[in-house]
Amino acid sequence: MAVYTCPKGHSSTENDYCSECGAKIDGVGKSELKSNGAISTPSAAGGGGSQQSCPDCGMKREPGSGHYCEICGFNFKTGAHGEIPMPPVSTPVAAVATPAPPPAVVVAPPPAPAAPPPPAEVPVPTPAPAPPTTKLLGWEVSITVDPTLKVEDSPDPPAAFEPVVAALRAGSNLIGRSSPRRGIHPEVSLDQDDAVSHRHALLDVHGDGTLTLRDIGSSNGTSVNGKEIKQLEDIPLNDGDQVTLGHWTRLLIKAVH
Amino acid sequence: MANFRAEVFQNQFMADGASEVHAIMTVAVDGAPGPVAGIGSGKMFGILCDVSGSMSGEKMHAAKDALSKLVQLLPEDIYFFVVAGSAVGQLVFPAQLATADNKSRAMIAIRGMAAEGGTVISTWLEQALGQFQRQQGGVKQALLITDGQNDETDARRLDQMIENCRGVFQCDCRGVGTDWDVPQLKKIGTKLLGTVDIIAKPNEMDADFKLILAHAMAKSVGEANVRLWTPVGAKILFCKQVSPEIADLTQLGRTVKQQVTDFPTGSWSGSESRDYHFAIEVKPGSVGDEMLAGRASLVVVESGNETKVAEARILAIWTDDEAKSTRIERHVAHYTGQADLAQSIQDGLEARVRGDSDKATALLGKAVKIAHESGNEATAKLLRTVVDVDDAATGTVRLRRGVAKEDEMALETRSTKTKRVQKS
Repeated sequence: MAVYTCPKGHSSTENDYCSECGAKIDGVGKSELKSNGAISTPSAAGGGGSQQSCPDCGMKREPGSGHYCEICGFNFKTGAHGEIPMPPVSTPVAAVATPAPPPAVVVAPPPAPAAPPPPAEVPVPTPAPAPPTTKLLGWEVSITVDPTLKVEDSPDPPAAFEPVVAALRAGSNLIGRSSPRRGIHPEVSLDQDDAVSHRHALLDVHGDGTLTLRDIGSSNGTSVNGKEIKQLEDIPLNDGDQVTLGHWTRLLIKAVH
Repeated sequence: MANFRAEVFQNQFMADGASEVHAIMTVAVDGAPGPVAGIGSGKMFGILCDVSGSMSGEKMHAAKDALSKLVQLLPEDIYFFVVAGSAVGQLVFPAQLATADNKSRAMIAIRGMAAEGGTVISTWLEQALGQFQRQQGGVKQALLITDGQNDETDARRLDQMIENCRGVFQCDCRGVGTDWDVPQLKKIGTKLLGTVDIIAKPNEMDADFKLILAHAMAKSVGEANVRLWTPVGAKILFCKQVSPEIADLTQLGRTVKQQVTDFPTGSWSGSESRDYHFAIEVKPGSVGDEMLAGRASLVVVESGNETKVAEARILAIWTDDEAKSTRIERHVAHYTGQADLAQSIQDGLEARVRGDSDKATALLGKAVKIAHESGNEATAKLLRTVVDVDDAATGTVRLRRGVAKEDEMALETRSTKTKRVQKS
């Protein structure tokens, strides 16, 4: 029996709506299906083949895209999932997942500060304080809006954007903008900034606890500590690093000990 | 086999965070009446006639007369049997082909039935079950006739016996006169997927039995289920047949496997149409989400083999457009109204019996209003036997005095009959 893959990563026996969760299976997947025959989970032995399809989202693997699926960020080498399946939503992630009001509704620009506030001073709501330990427990991203990053053509940033903390719970965490229609539900959801690509970048937490950032072909690029990074290349991140992207989004990387 | 079609009517648009999906599925079958589903099996018709003491006299005479005529009408290729029911169910004529000879013998058995003793319906059903179990597949239809209430001590056994009979045969129930208990027969009729009605005058039996037989003989599909698939985490709030009559199937649902539930619909004729109302609770979505809330199909069962004969999809699309999400789909609105109508009548009659005139007036007035608005003339007419209608449009009514018991019971019994939604 043919197996179809739904946007949330389930194997579906139906080709229109997922037989498990009912999510709409994209037309993209269907047309792929027609030209390629039944989509099946690519065998591990088929690695590197140009006809390989992503087992998560069903898209053909692009030559030259490295280990990752261009669409969902599935890691062909390690088998780590991209932004799917959705991790169980917990409080901090839920805060991120809630779409922020679109910039269009902002009436007035916020008062421009005389000098760019040092990022360290941006109030960051933190989860319950962890017991002091030197052991690295994980990583967090604090999402902030920095109006000083605004370029000439940018719309005004949301006036009162409260910084949001997203804990990186998955091995591979998508930075992007939500698109329920396309089944995109980023772990680090930057819905308030429309210069962020839907699938912008990945934050990968590796087995040894290290964190890397990869721009997965965003339209407007990504910078780490003010320096634009190359696309499709893993950049190691450290505690305190700042990632800027979109119109005026600044991500503060924080190691949780 | 007959040709089935399924169609779903719903407003698939949901407000942000909404989780309850409603849909009406219409299943219609047409085409030439095909052979009876089921290999090597035909139809079996069972007669269960009350012969308790209360039946003696005119009722017993009329029943014997009507049953004899019924037996004569049976097609020769079906099997039939007769159970005489009192404190025990007595198989006075075991299942045999309806040949001329066998019919004569059955009529002699029917004439010999004597009215005496109590009413223990579980024993009647038990006899019928034994006969129906002798045949594999096919259409199995019983007709239960009673004029009284079941023995109180039999309540639990009757419930158990109904469960045993479920899925084996269907049973139409007829209450003769006005001494029987509507909820009791409704329970048997609903669980065994049959109709329930009152035969107020013994001389009306003849015509009614003919209709029941004609209906049973028109069946060409022995057994079919409404199968509902729902996504993981979803909950089926209810599944009701809403046309031609309201029957809540929710409790009759059987889990086929995870996410898939079957609701029995019994047998189908070569040409009929039924409507079902589904309510499914899904995980609330956010604006822009689209999901399948249900996949509803009709599955015909033939000698243990299942064939999906029709399917329709129930969708949920979340939107921030209130004009879309607040609209109630016409079919859903209509049948929600018809269910409300039936409930108002039940509750109104109950309040009336309790002597709560204000409540009864309010509820029956509401029923009159809904019946008027939805064009359910049959129910409106029955309501007028219980209330005087001053203004149907506003539901202004006065309770009538000296209502005939049979009129009240007819209203209570038939309140679940619905008006089909009008073609737009």
